[in-house]
Amino acid sequence: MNLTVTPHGDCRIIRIEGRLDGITSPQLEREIIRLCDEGHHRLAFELDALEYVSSAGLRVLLLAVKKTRAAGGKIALYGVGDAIREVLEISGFLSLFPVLGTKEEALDSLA
Amino acid sequence: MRASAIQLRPDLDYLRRLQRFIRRFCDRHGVEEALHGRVQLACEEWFVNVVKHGFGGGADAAGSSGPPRITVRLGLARTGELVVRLADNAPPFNPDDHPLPDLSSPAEQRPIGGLGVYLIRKLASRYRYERADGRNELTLHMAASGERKSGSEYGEEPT
Repeated sequence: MNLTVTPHGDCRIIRIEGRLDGITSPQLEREIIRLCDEGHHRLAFELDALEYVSSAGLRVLLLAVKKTRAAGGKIALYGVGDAIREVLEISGFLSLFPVLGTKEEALDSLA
Repeated sequence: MRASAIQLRPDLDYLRRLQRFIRRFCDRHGVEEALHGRVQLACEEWFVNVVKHGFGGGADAAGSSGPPRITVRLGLARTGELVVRLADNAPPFNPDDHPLPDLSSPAEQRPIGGLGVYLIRKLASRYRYERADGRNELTLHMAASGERKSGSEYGEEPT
């Protein structure tokens, strides 16, 4: 898994490439905790290159929702492929955050 | 049925090995990518559960019988269905005894975790759990068509 964080105004775009599984998800968890600790509570997840997510990855997304909301912020996802969307749907996660098509839509939803 | 098997240790470092084993099996038999992804997910959820909860992160979990043995066997039925047999000698764990997560509650009230077993049950078109000779054996049938059963046709919902 590769993680890239890009600032965009007061939002942070988190690009995740590869697999978000039981091995790699702690890395994302540390990154989210770091961003929240630094006062960044508007997070856009760019997921067009995310190949796979397991419940370990979902757990970290839920953590991101909880931590950002507790600070008055929110998260949005965009570029999600079919396989990832299926897992989000089965898990009931589509009701937790917006899953949008483009970066612009995601950043708008965080504004 | 064409099949192959792998033995794993109760250590999360073996997850990569399990992933490669599934990848190779699916490549060799031309399994479609969507089904391959669901098999990866079901096997990871099961393996991580067995390592973390079944063997408790170590080899001497109470109630387990003998040295840890974890086996994954993949088979391809003539129908194109993938049959996944997951066996371990950790203490008994029947997925049907596992409470279903509340997927409608707001984020603040959702527990972190508890989704793995639910995902396994949803990804399989049918499954069977058996406890015999000190071993848990979970058999998943996973359909090529991408169909998932959402109802109780295969004993999905415990009553």
